[in-house]
Amino acid sequence: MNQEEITAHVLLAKNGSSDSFCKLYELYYKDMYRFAYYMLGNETDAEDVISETVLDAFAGMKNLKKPEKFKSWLFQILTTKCKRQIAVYVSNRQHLADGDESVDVPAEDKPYADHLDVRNAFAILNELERTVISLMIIAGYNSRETAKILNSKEGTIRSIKSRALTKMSQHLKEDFA
Amino acid sequence: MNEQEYMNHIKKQAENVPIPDSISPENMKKMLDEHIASSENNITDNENTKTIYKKKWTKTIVAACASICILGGIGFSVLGNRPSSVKSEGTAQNEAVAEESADSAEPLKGDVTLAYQTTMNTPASYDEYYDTIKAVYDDYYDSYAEVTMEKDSIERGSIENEDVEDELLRKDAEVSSYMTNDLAVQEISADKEKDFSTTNTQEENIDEADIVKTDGDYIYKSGGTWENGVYTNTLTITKATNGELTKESSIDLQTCISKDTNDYVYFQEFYLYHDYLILLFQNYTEAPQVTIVIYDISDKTNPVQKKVFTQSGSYEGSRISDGFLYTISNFADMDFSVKKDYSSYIPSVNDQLIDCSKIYYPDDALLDTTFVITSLDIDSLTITDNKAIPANGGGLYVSDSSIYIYGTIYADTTQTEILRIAYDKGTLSVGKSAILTGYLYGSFALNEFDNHLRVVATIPANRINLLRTEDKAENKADDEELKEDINVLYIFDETMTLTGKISGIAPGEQIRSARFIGDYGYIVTFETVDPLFSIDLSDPANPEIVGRLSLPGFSEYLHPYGDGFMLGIGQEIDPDTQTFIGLKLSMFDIRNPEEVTLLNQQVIEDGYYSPAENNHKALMIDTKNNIFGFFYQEQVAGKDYTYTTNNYYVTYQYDSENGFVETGRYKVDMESYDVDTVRGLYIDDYLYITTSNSITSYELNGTKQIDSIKE
Repeated sequence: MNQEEITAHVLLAKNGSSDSFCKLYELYYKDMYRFAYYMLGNETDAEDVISETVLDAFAGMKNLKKPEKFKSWLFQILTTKCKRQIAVYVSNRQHLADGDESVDVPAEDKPYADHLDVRNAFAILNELERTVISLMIIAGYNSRETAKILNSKEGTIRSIKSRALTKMSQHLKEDFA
Repeated sequence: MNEQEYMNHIKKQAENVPIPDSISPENMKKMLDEHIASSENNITDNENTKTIYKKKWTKTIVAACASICILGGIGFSVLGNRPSSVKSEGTAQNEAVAEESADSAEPLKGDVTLAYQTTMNTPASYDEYYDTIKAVYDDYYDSYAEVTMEKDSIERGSIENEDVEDELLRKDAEVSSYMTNDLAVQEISADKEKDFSTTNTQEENIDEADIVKTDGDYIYKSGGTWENGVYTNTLTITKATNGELTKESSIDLQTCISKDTNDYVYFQEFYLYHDYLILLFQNYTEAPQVTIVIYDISDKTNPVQKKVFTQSGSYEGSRISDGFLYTISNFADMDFSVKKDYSSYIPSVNDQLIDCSKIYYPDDALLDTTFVITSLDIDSLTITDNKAIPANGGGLYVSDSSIYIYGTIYADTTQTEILRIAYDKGTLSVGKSAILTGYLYGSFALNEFDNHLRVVATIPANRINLLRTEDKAENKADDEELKEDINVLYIFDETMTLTGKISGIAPGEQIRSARFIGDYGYIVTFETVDPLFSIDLSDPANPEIVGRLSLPGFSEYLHPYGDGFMLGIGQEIDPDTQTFIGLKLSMFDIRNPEEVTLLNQQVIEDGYYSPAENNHKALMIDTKNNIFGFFYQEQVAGKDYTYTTNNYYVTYQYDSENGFVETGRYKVDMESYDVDTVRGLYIDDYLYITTSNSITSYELNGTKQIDSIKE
């Protein structure tokens, strides 16, 4: 879908077409799911925040002023939802909240468990690092855009990214060894 | 792996997570429709007016869609998939237009989005640069701010600092104080008879920096040791005479540029150029900068620091070509908060801001970082030129006339931007850049020959809807469902204009290695078997796949071996069970590119990792003297799932009669985390194996150890 077509579908969706909205959603939902999955570390909650995001976004389409910003707008809603969910984990002292616990993968699943390795690598990151890495790698934003989305400074985002990647590489190296 | 490659790696693995059906677009549509239905029950008023309004809107949009298709060419596939509600309401006329455009569209012309160019501008002053870029940013990023939570917009007020301006004026007035006494550069040492290996480089005449170098008499090696919790990083000069090792001197790689041991100094790699050692550092003062230090080593026992150069940014890479050192750094910390604080957004070379006439920005003025390129005349030890140019990513390929900087862009489709900078005797001229769909597996995915740049890229699955062209046109309806990776070859001329391409190479597989030899290109893709494709590139407008050879396993690195042969280093994979068997060497006969044959192969069973697979500098190779060697690790399974790891350096020669002949296998004693720093080199009849803290010498074609020194 090129930018003109996206714009056309956004206009239709603003006007209430669930069909057009889902056409747009189709472009991004896999990345959205991966984003939520690595942010939250579990499938069920990831599915839930996606559903919530879809409902909120569809209802709020009229607030979207620039059609070409649809994707970042969608991810912004999703980021907010994920952060809220993480806050719930923190208050419940659930896993992943501070990244101090990682998800155990049964040894026999290892050879087929690439994404679980990655999930474990995400789990050792703190919330901010995880958000930055998810936005940059899964959602594909550069550091400047990420800084804008998170209301932070670009230099800060870059150093968070580098620190997070170092942590992850150490973790993944252990897994491969 | 650099950071970019590492991000690619994580992204790739992250994509393996299964997507639950519950969130599929179909199910979401159901959910939304139910939601709409339930909320519409609550609406009683305004119902009629709303519907009318809705209809009006959709009609306008259908018209808009149709015109896009005619202009865009690739748009037609979307018409076939547009929302059913639109279809039912569309007028007959619009339908007709759509059909016509779909039929007459030529797919090849349509996919202009495949590769397009951006042009560069140069500002008249730093202030103009600031204004242009800042304005575009504010416009672009304000739209993000609009949708973020309202709060933070207040703290945008800028802090004007008058003192900064004075500071800058003072800086300008300062003259950099470098040593300037010239020493005549001596010719390369006289005794030419010596045979020895040099760093394996991508292009024959373009030198690449590494961690070990030799001139046939001395071994220059950087490395580090831990002692009493203190890490010492040194570059040692060791005399190597028939295997006997004598340490002559060493350079401390921390104190040579900073006396303060708390300063961040990261030694990167170095060059040996006549009587100079050229050392490249990454260090941090207020901001990251690259420091180039030149040592005169005409007296091996007493290396003398001769000159120091600096440039802003993080080290990305360098090359030496024709007596000039080209160094590329990434100035990423551009900060536009204070206009007069030029150094916060203009990079410097030797503490002087880069001149306006050498600063470039793209048409849309949206740049994330700026790359700094300097050229250094090694004979006169002067910087001859510099540029600040926007580019994506820090991948680097240098041919004998151009520097290419490439990087992945994570947009809705994975793209790669390639920027060309032509060079000639130290003078840099910034050319255009092209953006293509797909990612490059490494610098060997690029090659320049006869003024044309050839590039092979892999387009990851889920993102290829726009790219399916002629070969799959009849399956248009299925296009959106394609789940396969696909590979493409692009050819650009020197203006970075696309002259030809082949799309749809090896659907479902990824490029593992590529090598271009003159008019032909060879690529290896992998999924279940290892097809080696030969591509005729002699007509840049019409590249053509002329041959294909399928084998189990794959090659990660290809190297021309004499005339008409090519060596592949990779892995052997069982085609039935997909299990890894061992490292594999393959020799291909490419005398007839249309009928490439496998002459011999050798599998090193239990050999499970060699750095030579993904770092060409870890491979020692001298095809003229028919010798190559590399380090590898062997894992031998023991009882109860335990493994023993052994480290070996192994050397080979090849002849058509006996195939690959192992001429030596040397056990390497080392720390396991150091595997990527092992290098081998040979001088005449002796092999020298270096690790980060040792050099050991052996007789070549034997395993007898002669000498060994530890640091």
